[in-house]
Amino acid sequence: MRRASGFSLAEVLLATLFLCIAFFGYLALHQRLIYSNWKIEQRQAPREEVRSALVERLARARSGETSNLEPVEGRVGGLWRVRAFKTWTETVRGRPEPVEKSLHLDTFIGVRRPGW
Amino acid sequence: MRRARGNVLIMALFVSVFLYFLSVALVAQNRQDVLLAVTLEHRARADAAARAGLELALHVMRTDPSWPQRLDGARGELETGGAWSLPLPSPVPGHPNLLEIRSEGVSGIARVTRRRIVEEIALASEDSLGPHLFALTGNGELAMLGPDFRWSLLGPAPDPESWLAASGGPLFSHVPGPGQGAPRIFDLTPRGMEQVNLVVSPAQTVAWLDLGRETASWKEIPPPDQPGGLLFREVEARLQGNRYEGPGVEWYSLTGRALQARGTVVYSHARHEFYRGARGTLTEAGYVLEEPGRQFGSSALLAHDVATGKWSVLVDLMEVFDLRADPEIRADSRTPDTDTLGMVESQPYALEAGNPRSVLRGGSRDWSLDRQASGLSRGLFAYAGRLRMHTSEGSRDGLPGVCLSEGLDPGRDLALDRPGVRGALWDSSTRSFQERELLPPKRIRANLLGDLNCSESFQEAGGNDGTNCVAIQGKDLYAFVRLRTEYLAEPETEYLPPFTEEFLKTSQRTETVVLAHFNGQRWQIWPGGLAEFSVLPPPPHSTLVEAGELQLSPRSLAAASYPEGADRPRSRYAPLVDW
Repeated sequence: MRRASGFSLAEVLLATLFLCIAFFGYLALHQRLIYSNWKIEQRQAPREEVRSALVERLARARSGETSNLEPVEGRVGGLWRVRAFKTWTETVRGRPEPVEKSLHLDTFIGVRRPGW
Repeated sequence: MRRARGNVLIMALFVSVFLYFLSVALVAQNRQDVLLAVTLEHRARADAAARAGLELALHVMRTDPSWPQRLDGARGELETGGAWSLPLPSPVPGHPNLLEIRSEGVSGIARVTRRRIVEEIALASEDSLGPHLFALTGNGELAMLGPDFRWSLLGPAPDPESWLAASGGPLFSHVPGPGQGAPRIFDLTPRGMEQVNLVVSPAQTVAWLDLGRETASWKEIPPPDQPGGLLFREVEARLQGNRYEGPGVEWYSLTGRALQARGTVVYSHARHEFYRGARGTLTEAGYVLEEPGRQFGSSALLAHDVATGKWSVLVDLMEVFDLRADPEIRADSRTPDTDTLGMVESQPYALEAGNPRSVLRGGSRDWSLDRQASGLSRGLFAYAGRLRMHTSEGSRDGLPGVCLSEGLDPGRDLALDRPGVRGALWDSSTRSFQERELLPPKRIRANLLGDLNCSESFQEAGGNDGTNCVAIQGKDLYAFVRLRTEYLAEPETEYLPPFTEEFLKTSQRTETVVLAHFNGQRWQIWPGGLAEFSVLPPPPHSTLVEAGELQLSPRSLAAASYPEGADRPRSRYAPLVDW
């Protein structure tokens, strides 16, 4: 009996189905990752700005500029709280209006005039 | 050729599996990115928390004497979420005066550790309170470095020319005395009975500073030369038959600028004066003046105890046995320079008048030679139970040198590594401030200040200027010290305040005058440590020392002790470096 050569229709259809599922799955995932990375990058600049603002305020406080600082509660004079924050907006998929995001940082600094 | 069926299916499966693994790898990579981004936020919070822990630790160390109990295992949380924890600060191996503070900040999965090295500036005298340091400004006002370690003005000094003296007690200063400095004596003279013209030095006495929490006032000590005083003796003129004997008056008057103190006792040079009255015979025609009245004087050293209110005589070259007879004066005694005085326990020392190489030792009846100094001496002081000389050593490396002798020279001991200066720097590429080491650590040289406006007038065999630029309280010694550092230019660097626009644009050599403290083992900058020196401005082209907004004279410095109700730290802590 002579054996059949080539591909059966079922084989071709099944293979095409597998390939389509895998390819479109990969494509969707890739798109999602691109969006995710874009969102991270969008947040990266404000983060860096807040950190930079905190460092700058610490430097100014060290130089004796304490006018905008608030004393730390429960501590005798000389220990101050330094704050830095940044507010920004993000566009979120599926929402027509941009969403407001913010990042707050605070720390302490002991400020003494020269001579202390 | 025989072709196997099902190969396409296998290949499709293989491609699907490959795409699956590719997706997994992509997701894994992206998770790392997300994690990194999220961690950055936590990391910023953890870093802020670690900083807060460091600052809090230093604050507690500076304000609470029992900080070891409070800091061991201390924890706290910031309003924005980060938390810090502090182990007990530990000594840096090999550096007993350095402590390492470690603060761990935690936020989410991020964990940041920050460290700070602080210089401990400890008082050596455990049995005494921290000092109130006093100095005079260029305008003759009294300035005080109080418990808050800030210089403040207390008004005009009672006598800008006098020494300020203190040691474990209140502050003393000479003040102009009340009224006449000598008694008024009426006696027989060739012109008849009249007031005798006495040779007297300007009247002066001693005052001590009564310092309250909000008030400061000078309390004058009654001078020893006033009638009715403990050291004042007199007999009236008398007439026995026709024989006249004039009055005899004995008194002491303070002299010189030198002043020393030990607790509540103050020591000052004085003149012992005696007037022996005239002798004569009354006749019918008038009188015959057989021997005119005569004034005798000699050197003396007096002490006054504020606690008992009594004056006492430590050294006296003249002895008056009878107020109507000539006194005995030690002719073989040497004469002390009244602008020099050193007290070792209760033993007085002074330089010889006109011979600054000779150190005199005061006995109860004379001043005798104690030792000959090899160099010129500018003054005497006692430290750690020994007499020290404040000598001039000439120039070293362009710095006019004055040293305290016998191993107390800060020029040798205070050649220290100045810590690097950290600060925020504007990074134009990232458009943000970055912290970094702005100045690398430098080696600094130091020498004692105190001769700025005296060096030209000081000459061999000349008088001593009596500079008392050394303040001593127990084992703690304070003096103004000049530091010099050379900086290399960094023209491309932009600095935040307090660094000016010109800062480090050109190479420069800076000299700064600081107050230094010696605790018997090492010199340290008081009270802020080497870090303070890093931001001090260079001194002006004058003989004065910048201290905050004040300009102090280096000629006079005293460390007094005033009781205070509040318990406060006995050690200062100054940050050297963070990382």
